[in-house]
Amino acid sequence: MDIFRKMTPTLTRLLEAFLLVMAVVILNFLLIQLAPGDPVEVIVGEMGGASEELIAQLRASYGLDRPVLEQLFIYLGKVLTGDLGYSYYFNTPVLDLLLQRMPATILLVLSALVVAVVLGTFAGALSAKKPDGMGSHLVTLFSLVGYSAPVFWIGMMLLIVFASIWPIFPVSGMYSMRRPDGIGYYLDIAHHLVLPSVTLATIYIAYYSRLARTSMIEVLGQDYIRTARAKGLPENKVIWKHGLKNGLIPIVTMIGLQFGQLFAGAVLVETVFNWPGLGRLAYDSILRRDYPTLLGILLFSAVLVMIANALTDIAYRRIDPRMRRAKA
Amino acid sequence: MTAQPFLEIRNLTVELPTDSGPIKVLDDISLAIRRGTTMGVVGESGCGKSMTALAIMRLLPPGFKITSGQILLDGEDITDVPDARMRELRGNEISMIFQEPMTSLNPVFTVGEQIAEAVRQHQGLDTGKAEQRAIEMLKAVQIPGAEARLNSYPHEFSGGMRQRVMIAMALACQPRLIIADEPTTALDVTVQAQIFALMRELQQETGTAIMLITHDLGAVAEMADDVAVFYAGWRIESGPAAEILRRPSHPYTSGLMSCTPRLRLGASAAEGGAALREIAGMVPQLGKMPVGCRFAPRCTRADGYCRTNVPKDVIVGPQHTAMCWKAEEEALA
Amino acid sequence: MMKSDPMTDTLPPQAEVAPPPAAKPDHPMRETMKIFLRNKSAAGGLILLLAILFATVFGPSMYGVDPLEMVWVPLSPPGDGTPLGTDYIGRDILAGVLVGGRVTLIVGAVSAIMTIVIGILVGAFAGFFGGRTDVALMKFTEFFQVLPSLLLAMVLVTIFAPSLFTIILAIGIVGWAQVARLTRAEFMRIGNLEYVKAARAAGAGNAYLMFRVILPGSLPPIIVASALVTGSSILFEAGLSFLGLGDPNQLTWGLIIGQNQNYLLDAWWTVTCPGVAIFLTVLAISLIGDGINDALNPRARKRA
Repeated sequence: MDIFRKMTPTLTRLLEAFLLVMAVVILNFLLIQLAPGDPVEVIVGEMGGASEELIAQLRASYGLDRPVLEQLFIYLGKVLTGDLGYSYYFNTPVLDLLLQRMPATILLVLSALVVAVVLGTFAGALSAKKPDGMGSHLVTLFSLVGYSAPVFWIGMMLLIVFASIWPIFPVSGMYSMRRPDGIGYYLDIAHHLVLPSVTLATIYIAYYSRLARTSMIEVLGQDYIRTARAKGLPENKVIWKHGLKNGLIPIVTMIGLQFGQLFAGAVLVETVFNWPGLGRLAYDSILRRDYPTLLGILLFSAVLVMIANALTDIAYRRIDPRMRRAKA
Repeated sequence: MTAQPFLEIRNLTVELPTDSGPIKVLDDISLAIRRGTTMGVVGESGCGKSMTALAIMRLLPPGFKITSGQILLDGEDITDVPDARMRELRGNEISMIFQEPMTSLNPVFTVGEQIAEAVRQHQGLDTGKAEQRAIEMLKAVQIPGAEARLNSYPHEFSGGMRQRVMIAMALACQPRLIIADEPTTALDVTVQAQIFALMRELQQETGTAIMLITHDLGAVAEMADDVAVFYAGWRIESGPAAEILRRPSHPYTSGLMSCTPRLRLGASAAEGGAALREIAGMVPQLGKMPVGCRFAPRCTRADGYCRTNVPKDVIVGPQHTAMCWKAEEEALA
Repeated sequence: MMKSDPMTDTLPPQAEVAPPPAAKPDHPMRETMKIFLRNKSAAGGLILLLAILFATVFGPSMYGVDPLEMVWVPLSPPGDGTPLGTDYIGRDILAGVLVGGRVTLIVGAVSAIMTIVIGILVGAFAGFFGGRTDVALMKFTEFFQVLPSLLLAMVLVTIFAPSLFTIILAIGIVGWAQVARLTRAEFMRIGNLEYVKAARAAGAGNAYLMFRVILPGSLPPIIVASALVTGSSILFEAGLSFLGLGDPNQLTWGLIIGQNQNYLLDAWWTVTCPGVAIFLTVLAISLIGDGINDALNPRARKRA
């Protein structure tokens, strides 16, 4: 651990993230080993049978006759060069498939996250001002309901409402049948994004509003808040400047830790709304037992989560000056 | 000396409503602070000193209410001015230095910003000028390398330095009254002396009045022109510092003095330490106050009359009053 | 997955969890019970949960309709022959909801126990031994905490073929990180208290110290977390079943929703009723968890 101490926090963080990614790669490899069948069996299956020699030859060409450890290094080498295997169902290299589906998921996840953090923090902070007020109880109630309901079910309920009762938002997919040009193209996507994004955001609004409430109640009881009031600052500045910047610290920490779960939530939401992202792809590859794709998604999303984590870590250091120099 | 006081508290009562009826946290407190002078407010913890300070700032904790009395700031009763007016006064006319320099500064803003924001708020200076003012203030409180330290965060300062920052913040708008609530309790003895010296120096330059809350009569002897002694929500004695320290009227004040080594004139340091007396017993809990004199249970001179009758605030000397039946007897005798 | 770590929320980094009344057994427990029952929403949650348990245990035989048989016209609405309508192949929704709760609740409870046991073990070792053990275990924990748990569970279940066992295992493997962190923090705090030092000085062994001395003191926040973990395990199971990764031989609430997904615009009741059942169950457990938290932590109750 001595090496860690000599490096800057950011570098340490990046190295840690890299090691975590490698751990996921190794986990992935182990899962491939455990998965029933190997690529050769699949190919043979598609060919409708093959001779023993041909199978052995194919195995050798895939390196499947080597010792496990050697196979691991072959796999690591492949992953590092961007070779995540081949999807027999989609008939495409897995990486291409992932890159093609990634933007839709990132759009969904980020929009939901922004909505959830902004609304959740705002609601939580407002309710912290008067912990016994009406608004505070509403926030508590909403957060309780919001995180007791399964996210895919919330999506379905919204889908029913907006498909049959009040059809103002599209309920499936990401584009209209006839794709408009120019700015209309983006507006069309935004229009399609509303329901999936709101669904995914709902549980996280519940989550962050509660976290923000607890955090802000704690912060607003601190001595430095009294100092800010003693300076004669208006109440708005006391709460939204002196309070919120401190209250945000646990929220930012949580965003990093939650990113993986947000991603997983996207799987369910994309399935319900037929949103053409990685989650929908995961669902489809489960149905097809398309292991290379499924494992590729796991690896890929782990990498995205690590990146997001490193970013929130940096944000965290920016907000809390005490973390800048200390801690590695 | 007899000019109109800058701050005058008249019969102030602060209550905390509880399930078993309201508790009087401050009971009929009166005191006055003259311009440019220092008033020492002494008493053990839980006697209502800090509560008085927070009442003046109108920053009482949730639930606590001023139920009667007046707080006159330069003749203006601030117990019922609108919040907006109160915000104009806070940090501008009256500012406060808190007991805990470690937790009273916001950890996520630079000290420069924390000083400058008060200046911007009250004097409408722009960012650059406010920053300039913050540097001046850091220099005034003798923080070395003020320009460089402007962008430091509170955790990068020692306790004593943080308290200097708090003082700089309190003085930034040149208030006419500073309430210092045990400003040195959390600090080393040597640092305590430095902080007091600094406060005295700044007072001479700016002519601000100081309300110094402390449980240390030594600090009062050093700093104060006048003294108010608090006990269990009562202000039990008040008067000029020299007079009270020489001739305390209330047994509680005498008790406090015998606890303070520096004040026991004639005793050498060694025997002073050994001969220190403590006042037996504890401050009564709020809501469990004795019927008569609240100090009676701990008082060596109390008799049956003291235990059943609430003493009145009587004049016992020039500008010197005390709430004690015995002191009244002596004054009349 | 959908909400995953609800416990962090009542138990944020600097947990709102009470410094537990250490080493004073019996009496505070009864006090805690009293506070808990006086809390209206907690008592409501308890009653709701008991009602759900009653319905799933005795409901199917009382109702007496086979949930797997086609009993009526497919996709007929509630009240039109069956109380809660029928699904796309004419199976009775009410019968499905009553029976489906059994598997859902069992999987939720067993995987929650597994999550908690793994979490306590990892957290206890990390918090008790500290140093390198702690660093290593916490990196390990962080790994599981940042992985998209539902995806990992999906992969595990897909590879090992869906069965009750693999599902429970998958949920247990992916969900323990939060409990571990919490337990670690508690162990570190309590490990420094006088009575633990005294026990150590008296020659108590590590295992005895960890599980007989420190663990009882750290239980209150862990109990609160357990309630929330149970809720999230149920949601997790529902998510997997919805995606078709449940045990195909077992009817669950999530499975009913997943199977009728394509008909939801024609037959809202097919997805609404099982969803309400999941929602009410998790809500009841959340309310109970909140109630326990409040009862164990009177200070937070007054503040919040």
